[in-house]
Amino acid sequence: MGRMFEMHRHHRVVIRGAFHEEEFELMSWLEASPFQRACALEPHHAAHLFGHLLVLDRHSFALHRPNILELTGMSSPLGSHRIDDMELRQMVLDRLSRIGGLILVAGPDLSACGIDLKPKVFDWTESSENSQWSGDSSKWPQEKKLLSLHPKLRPLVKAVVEGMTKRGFQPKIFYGWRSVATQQAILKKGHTKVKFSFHNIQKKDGTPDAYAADIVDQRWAWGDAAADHGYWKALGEEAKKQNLYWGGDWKKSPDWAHVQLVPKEQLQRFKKASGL
Amino acid sequence: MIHLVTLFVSIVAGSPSEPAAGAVVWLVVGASDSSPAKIARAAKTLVASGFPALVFETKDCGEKRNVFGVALDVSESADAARASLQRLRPTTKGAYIKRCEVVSRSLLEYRFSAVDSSIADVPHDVVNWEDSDRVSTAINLPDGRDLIAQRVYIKDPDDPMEGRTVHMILANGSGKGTVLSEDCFWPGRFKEHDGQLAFQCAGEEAGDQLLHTVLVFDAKGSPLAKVEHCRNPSLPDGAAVICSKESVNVNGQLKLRPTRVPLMPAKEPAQPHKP
Repeated sequence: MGRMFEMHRHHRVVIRGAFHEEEFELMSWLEASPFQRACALEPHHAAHLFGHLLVLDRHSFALHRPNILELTGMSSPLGSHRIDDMELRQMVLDRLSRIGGLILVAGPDLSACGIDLKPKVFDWTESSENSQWSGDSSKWPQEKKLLSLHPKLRPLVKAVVEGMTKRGFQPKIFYGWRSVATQQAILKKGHTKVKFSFHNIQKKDGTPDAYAADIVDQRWAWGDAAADHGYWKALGEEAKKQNLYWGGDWKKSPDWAHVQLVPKEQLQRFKKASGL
Repeated sequence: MIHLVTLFVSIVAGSPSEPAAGAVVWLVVGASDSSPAKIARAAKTLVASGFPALVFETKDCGEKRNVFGVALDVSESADAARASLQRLRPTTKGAYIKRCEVVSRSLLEYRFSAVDSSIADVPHDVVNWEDSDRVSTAINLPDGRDLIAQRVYIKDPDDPMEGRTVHMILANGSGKGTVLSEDCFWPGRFKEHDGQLAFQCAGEEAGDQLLHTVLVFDAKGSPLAKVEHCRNPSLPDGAAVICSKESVNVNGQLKLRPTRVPLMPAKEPAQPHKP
């Protein structure tokens, strides 16, 4: 895959990497947010990576030279004529190598800070640190969604997923845990009928502890084709094999993708246990 | 059938004639409260004591400050109200008479309870109930017809909505109506065409999205179409309903596709709703 530089906005350069959705942003340390600084690649690694990209894509570097000149503070007409590409590259590398100069940040589509050129293997260990549980939980990797479930629910959902896979489906957990804030935001948009659900259960310290998961087939999700191919019926069967409650059984308001560890009448108890 | 019984008992019996729009009535008020949950319990207590009870909102009397009241009697003259009060006073000491200029096309005009009697039975530990789920509303259509969104509680341990239920009733005056739907959460997008009526109800959840069902009825309230997973209905020609078919992909994105569904002659007669 070719590498590409593009001006993202003033004083910043977005670099697409060699792997799918891999993206980096070259920016000024001074203009970066605290989060971006925290997520910046380690200086030595950043310089090495940037140098590697430049060797492979000389043309794009030349094309976006004005932007890089701005980042390095060499954008005046006098300066831009005086400095050649080699010097400019060296200047970027120098600044990437020291604190307070330039930084290279993993882009928004990369979940981990400090990602390198190799595809990242996520290591979501159980931790009471809430920072790792931020962001849109529907976009988390499957492993992380599993970890956001209550420990008793995890192996059961995993077994449901395996059972569905064996039947030839392509199951994917859409939601494990969902924050109360997200729930409220969805409710405000009129996209849900409840302000608290079994997806929102958490430990008192805010760590996810969901008692429900939504599992769809990645080809059809909630489209009519899911029912046409017998996906929902099969999901209900696999869920019941694991003694889970299946939302498709709810006559009045079915929730086909939903599996749940405990009966609905326990919602209030778990809300309280969540410290909410 | 149980649902229908619930509907029937929600209407106050014993108000033989319907006031004209903007008519003045005298209400014999047995209790009042700003909370719909509390007024439902107060009404239940009064009904248990043998009183007919109609919960009304003072906004239906044109008042800016809205509170709920339990009307034990609705009279068309002050004298009749006084006589009623004399009769009721021994058992309801705090009862009083309230003059009310009834707002046209309001629940009070139709003699529908603003808070259904079933609301008194909503368990105290529910999680997802709001005050607005307890209060019925009148929906005035541009063509002069009125719908009642009657919010009730139906106990069902398998209901993720905790029993929150909305009946849609086409009001025919004098507490009468035709039941269009016994479960239509968040009714909206009302469209009319030569007496035909279409609207949508919120249905299943799909990730971060909510799917809808479109319902279409003829002028008498008989069903003409029910389109699952569709929203934003329109009735272009009386022969079909057009709505946006919904699907949600694996990234949680909602996709809408226009679809046209022919309207079929009603197989079942309209479901009457009489007190």
